[in-house]
Amino acid sequence: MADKIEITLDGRKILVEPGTTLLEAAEAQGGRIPTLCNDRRLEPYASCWVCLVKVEKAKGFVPACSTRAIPGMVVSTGSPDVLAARRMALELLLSAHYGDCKAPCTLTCPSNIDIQGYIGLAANGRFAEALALIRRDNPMPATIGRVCPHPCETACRRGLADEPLAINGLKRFVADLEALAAPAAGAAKAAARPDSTGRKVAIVGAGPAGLAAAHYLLAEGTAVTLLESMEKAGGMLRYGIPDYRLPPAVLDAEIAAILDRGAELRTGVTLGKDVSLEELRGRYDAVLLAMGAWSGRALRVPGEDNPSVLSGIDFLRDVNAGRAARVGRRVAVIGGGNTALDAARVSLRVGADKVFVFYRRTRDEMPASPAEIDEAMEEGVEFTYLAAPVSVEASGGRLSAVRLLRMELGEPDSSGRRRPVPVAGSEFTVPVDTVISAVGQYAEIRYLETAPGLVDEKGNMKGDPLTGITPVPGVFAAGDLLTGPDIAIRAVAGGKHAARAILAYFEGGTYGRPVEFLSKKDDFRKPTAEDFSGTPKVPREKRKAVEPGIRKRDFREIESGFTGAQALSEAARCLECGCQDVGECALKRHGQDYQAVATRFLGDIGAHPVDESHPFIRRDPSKCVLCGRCVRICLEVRGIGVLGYMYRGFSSVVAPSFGVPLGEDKSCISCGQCVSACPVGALTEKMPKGKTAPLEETVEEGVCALCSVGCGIEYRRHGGLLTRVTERWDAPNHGKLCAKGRFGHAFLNEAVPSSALDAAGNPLDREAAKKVLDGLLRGAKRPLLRLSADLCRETLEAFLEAARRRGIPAEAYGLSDLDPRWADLAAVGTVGAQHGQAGGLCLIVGDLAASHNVAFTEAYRMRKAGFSGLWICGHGDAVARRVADRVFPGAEGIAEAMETALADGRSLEVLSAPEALLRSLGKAGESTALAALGKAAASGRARITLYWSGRNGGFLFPLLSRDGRTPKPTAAEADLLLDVGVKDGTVKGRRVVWANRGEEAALYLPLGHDAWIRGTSIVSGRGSISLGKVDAGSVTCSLFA
Amino acid sequence: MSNRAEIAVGMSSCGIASGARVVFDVLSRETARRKLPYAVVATGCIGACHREPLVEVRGADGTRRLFGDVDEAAAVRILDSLGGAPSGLEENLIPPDAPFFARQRRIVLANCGSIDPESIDEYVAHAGYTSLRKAVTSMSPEQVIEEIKASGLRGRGGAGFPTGMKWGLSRAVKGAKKYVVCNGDEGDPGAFMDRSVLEGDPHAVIEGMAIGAYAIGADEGYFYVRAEYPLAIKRLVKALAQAEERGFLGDRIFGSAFCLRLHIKEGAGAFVCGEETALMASIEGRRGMPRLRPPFPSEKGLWNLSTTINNVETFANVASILRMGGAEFAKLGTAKSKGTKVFALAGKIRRGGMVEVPMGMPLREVIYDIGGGIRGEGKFKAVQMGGPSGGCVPESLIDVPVDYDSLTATGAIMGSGGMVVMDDSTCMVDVARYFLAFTQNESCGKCTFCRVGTKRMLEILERITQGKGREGDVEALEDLAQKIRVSSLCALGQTAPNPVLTTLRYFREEYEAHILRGECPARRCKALIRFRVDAARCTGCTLCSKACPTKAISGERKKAHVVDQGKCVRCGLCFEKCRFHAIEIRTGKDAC
Repeated sequence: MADKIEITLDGRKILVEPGTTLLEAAEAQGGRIPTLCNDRRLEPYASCWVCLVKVEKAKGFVPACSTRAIPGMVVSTGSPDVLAARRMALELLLSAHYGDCKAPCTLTCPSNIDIQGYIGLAANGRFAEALALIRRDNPMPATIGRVCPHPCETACRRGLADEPLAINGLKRFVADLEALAAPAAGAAKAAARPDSTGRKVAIVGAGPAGLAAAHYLLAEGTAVTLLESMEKAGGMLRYGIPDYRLPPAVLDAEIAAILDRGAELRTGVTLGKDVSLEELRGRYDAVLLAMGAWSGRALRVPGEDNPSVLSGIDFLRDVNAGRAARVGRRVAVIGGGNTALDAARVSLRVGADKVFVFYRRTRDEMPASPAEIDEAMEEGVEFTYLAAPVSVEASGGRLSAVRLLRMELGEPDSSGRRRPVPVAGSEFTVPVDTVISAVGQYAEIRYLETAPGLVDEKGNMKGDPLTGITPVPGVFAAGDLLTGPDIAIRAVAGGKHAARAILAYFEGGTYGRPVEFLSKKDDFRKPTAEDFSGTPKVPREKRKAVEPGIRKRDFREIESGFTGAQALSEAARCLECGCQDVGECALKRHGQDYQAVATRFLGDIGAHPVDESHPFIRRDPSKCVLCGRCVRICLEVRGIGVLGYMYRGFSSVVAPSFGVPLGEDKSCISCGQCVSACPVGALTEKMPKGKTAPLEETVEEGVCALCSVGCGIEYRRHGGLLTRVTERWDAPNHGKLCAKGRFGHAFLNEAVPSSALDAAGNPLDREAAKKVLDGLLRGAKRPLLRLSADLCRETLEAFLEAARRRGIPAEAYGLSDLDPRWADLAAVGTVGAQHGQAGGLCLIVGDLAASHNVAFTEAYRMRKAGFSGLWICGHGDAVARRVADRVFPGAEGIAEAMETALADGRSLEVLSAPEALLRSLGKAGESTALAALGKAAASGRARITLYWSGRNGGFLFPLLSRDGRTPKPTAAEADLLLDVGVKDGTVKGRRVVWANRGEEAALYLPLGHDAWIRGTSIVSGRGSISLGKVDAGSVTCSLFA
Repeated sequence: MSNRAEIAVGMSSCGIASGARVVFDVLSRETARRKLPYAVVATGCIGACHREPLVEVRGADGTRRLFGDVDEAAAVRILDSLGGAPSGLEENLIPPDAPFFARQRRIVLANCGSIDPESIDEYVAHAGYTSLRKAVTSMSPEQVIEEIKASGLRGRGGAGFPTGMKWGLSRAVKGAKKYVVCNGDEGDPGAFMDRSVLEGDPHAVIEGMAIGAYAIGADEGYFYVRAEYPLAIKRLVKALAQAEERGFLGDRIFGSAFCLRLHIKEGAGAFVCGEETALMASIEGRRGMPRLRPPFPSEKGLWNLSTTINNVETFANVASILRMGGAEFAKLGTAKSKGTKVFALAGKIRRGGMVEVPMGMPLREVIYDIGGGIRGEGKFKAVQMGGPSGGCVPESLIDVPVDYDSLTATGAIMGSGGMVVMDDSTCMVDVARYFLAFTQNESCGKCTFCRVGTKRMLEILERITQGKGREGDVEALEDLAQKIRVSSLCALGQTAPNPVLTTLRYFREEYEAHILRGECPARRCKALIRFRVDAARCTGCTLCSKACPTKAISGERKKAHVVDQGKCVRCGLCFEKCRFHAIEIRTGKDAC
């Protein structure tokens, strides 16, 4: 070992090993230098230049990842010029990184609900997880799922392809599903009440803002008192929205869930009348004002004081409160918002024959949601656009007509909408007997002027609409009171943020909405319909609605929810706009750290279509930062080279050879190594048979149980959903995985039937199942137990033991064609071997690259590191020729290679996979290989490691192949097959199947996932390892034993 | 000097492009028919490219007469005049004391245009391979390196690294196998020195390379020559075969233990492959992308073995140095820049071509005395040195001596020797845009600042030349340029901003005129100019309206014409056609 060398890093003298890079040196000192292109599995490359540092006397900056320390080097990693240059590197990369960190739906939602996340969960049938995710940002999903005009759907990119996703309908579906499953429970019951902090908050107004704030305050142990002037809680949701849109029972349940967490509700209490703000401030630690905006604006036309001119919001409140609310036979509604439409439709339901809506602009400018306009029209409401009232006429005190003036659209006003301009001489009269004015609402809060600074000169509430913080310490505001009339989810969001602001106030801090660094396509080029021309059209699922003729006479809910099947197929329509890598993206992280401005350099973006051709890997070249990690890992680590650079300069792209779609590149082995190397979302994984969604994950360490290599892996889950499997830096894989390990665990997302099933698929209870099994066993003359080597050792042993007792012969499924002599070598192979004995020679027999790629790649790694030589025999494709020192193709090559290797004199490490060898070279080749390997084993100089496709092949095969005493029938001869873990679609009829999912059989018995991924395993070259406990007694259901 | 009578035709690419092949054929045919005692031979680039095709008549008595602009008729006249006084050739005769040649000092180009590049005999007759023989038979590698060090030779590829020192470093590397590489990937627009030397005197390069190989201890080497130089490759292939046949290459050269095998690798034309690490990647069969140095090629080069890379012109100096002695060579040039430098003189210059001058000659002498100054009516504005990696030297600095360090101080560089002369009709913003477009297009795409940064700079420059410049653009350009310079992996990126930086340094007001006043002072940027007819001067000859491709000019015969600005595409044809200076180009406020 050479002496350490001294360098000066940011003013401190430190000692490092020779060959250490500056990045490693800084990391060892606890410093963080950002990087995108560096990967410890690869040689330094210096392409991203995000890690640049300053070295004294060097020309320009140097990349820390590839600059090795030399004695006396003086390095500065954090000077202002270095930071500015790094920031520019990030901004340059961001200027050509065309992608959305988060989906437009989520960003548009006022409460930023993780829409893509819950849609993804719903698409995977994880409805409970979906609901929990919604609740994080919205405690009233069933309510909002009915009333929301869903700006998210307007923003939905699917709308560019065909129709937007029915986001709100899906929200309602998962919320209703829970309510149906446990009507009395609700999620709040389950939620434990946190310890009280002793703080008390008064919330004035139990509408959506107040209720949401209560929910989030209660969750943190704050005591909450809700003061409500009406009889019941709910605010605008209860008294402003008609029952046909929101049944009271739905609202009641959600309010109950919030109150059940311990809020005190005092109804019939009005601020400014029954209690003053000063009193509340005295009694509580903080006050949240959320009284809403309940005063209707005046029409400001002559005749308005007629008692038959009603305020829209008052009218709705009276109807909703069950008070008498009469309208005449002909009703004119003035206005174009949701209150106007609700008033019009309610008028029909309380007895009007004819209802007109007059709006001074056109339908395009109407604030009401288009769906509601359509529904109102279906119900017979007549719309007149470009008309404004000039007077209300009366005869004999009774309202007789409304006079209106035609308008035309002029120049846009401050709201961006074109201003209506009267057309001279265009007056007309419509005979009506009731006029409902719905031209706007405001909050009447003059009574709060006693608290200085709370009300501005126009009579509006003062405060920050983003946080609810008002100029008066300890007083907060939220909802329509603060923002003016707006949609319910904005009030919910306001309540949520106000709650956080209050909690921060208690801690003595201030609160601001978190600013997240986000890359957005819209900042560079808004996606167009053309971008989605290749997206297959799938129509939006339609929900059932009550016929207009029937519904307009009562207050029953109009729309029903989705069915389960509809929900699944609707959720599957999601285009997954938000980046899969949002949680791990290094560009996003560094962008945030360096306060990069993604839009600093606007120019060409080089957008490319997303490549979805590969079953497991999604390639989005528009997000690629050209770091080259995927290119290098594929070539340098795997020896394959599927991905490479194309073109030059700014046009450079990383793509498979000749630009073919990744899925069509035959050389790709789907190991997903490129995905794991990609620092951004240009390469992401697709979970087989499921929808991917960027979700928060829990991480559980494990060992891959899908073959005998035994790679270190991480199971990543969100709730019960396995989202991904990623690699660990464990022996023997050192950060590598193969296709099986990374993508082969999707079966864990399939539900295991919980009970036994008969031949017709009917569930059987334990007793019935036992009867069927006993009957089958009694009737069988030549039964055969077939065991899958994929299962854990405990399971295998339990079945073997039971079979022995009953005298039933057993075979290792899929291994019976192998020559029994492998068993002798297997014994050799289980002795703890490690690849690449220093100075030795590693000899691969057969196409290990195809069957056990990680083992193969590890041998290649040792060879590249100069640790051992690498020969490949019995096989000789292009990859073999590229990576090996010598190649001996064909069966005859095995004997030749082995003899040459033994003559070579070096110590010998032999790696082979019996099943793969038999498959590719046949019986003769197997025989040749066995003879050669036997010779090598006998020489005493070779260590032989055998790899099996089943994780316990090394255990099961020697055990059963040596068991020559029991005469075994073949599968064809047997009259009853007892298949454990065996999925054999070719055999029908008399089978008993223990599996993790249904198979055609006389009897199915459940076998949990654990038997595949836990328990004891024989790992090639390392012996026995335990992957966690498996109850062998339960897996056999005690029936067979 | 050759003793036989010859008629030599300059048959480099430049000559062939000007029609030398036809001239050669006529001369061969007619000489044979007339049974004249002359051999018609092809030779390399004679240098005076502005007068191609060139023919030199070399009498057996040693007399030489050089003719330029030779067409078929002139060729026949040349034969007619043999033995007598030239008649009707006054226009074609280029006297040996013509200013173009008088001020040059030819070392690298000594044989170029003089000998038949396809004949090893001629090279040998001109003392060819004597230096190699001397080196391998009577000098130790260390002595060779000392001699080169004494000469002060610096790399002619652009960076100017001392050659002797480079060889010394390579020599010191332990290892059984070493490579030597000749970089012939000349890629600068407007540069053709290496091509001319390879086409005109390939053996000189081979000999220099062999001496280098001997000095460092290499036994194998590569010529990396771009495939766009087919003639150079053809002559190199032939020269290598001849040298091997003579035993100047191969095993036991001149009976010594020194062995050398040289191969040719044709580059596919990526500019970045002129960068040594990218060049090596290309030879190895990988994508030509640079990597970080260190390790330098002398340490880890081709296939991780020690490799020494020198430019064509560098190697072309070596044999001469051993012949004349390092100390003698060092007498030429300045304190830190020794010897001569070959330049490709191009652009708005009266006498363009390939010239070789002693280091330290003032730029003014190169441009005015040798080049004859500006061609046409324009006024000298600047000279672009060193191609896309270089910069513009303005008129005020025209007395700068051409040596490595003086040029670097101006913000330009010596580079490989491209010298593009520009007059006042050249828009400096457009020049910067042009060179940046080149580097952006030729960036390998590996590192961020070069790949994206130069693209963003280019977009800003495009914006400015299209009249869409904004305030802050100049500052953004400067910020980008400064950071790209210090944060790029290889010289391509590090020097890419140079054309912008030097034009900003010397012509900042031109940028400002574009951005702030919508004005292109050189009247070049189409978006900022308008063609108008000066009614007072227009005679109504209709030449302009006939020439206009978009029918934008109308008017009655003998009456003043008018340009329809809506239809005008600002091609400038009318301006060129008008004989009365009646078409004006207006820019900025005047254009409205």
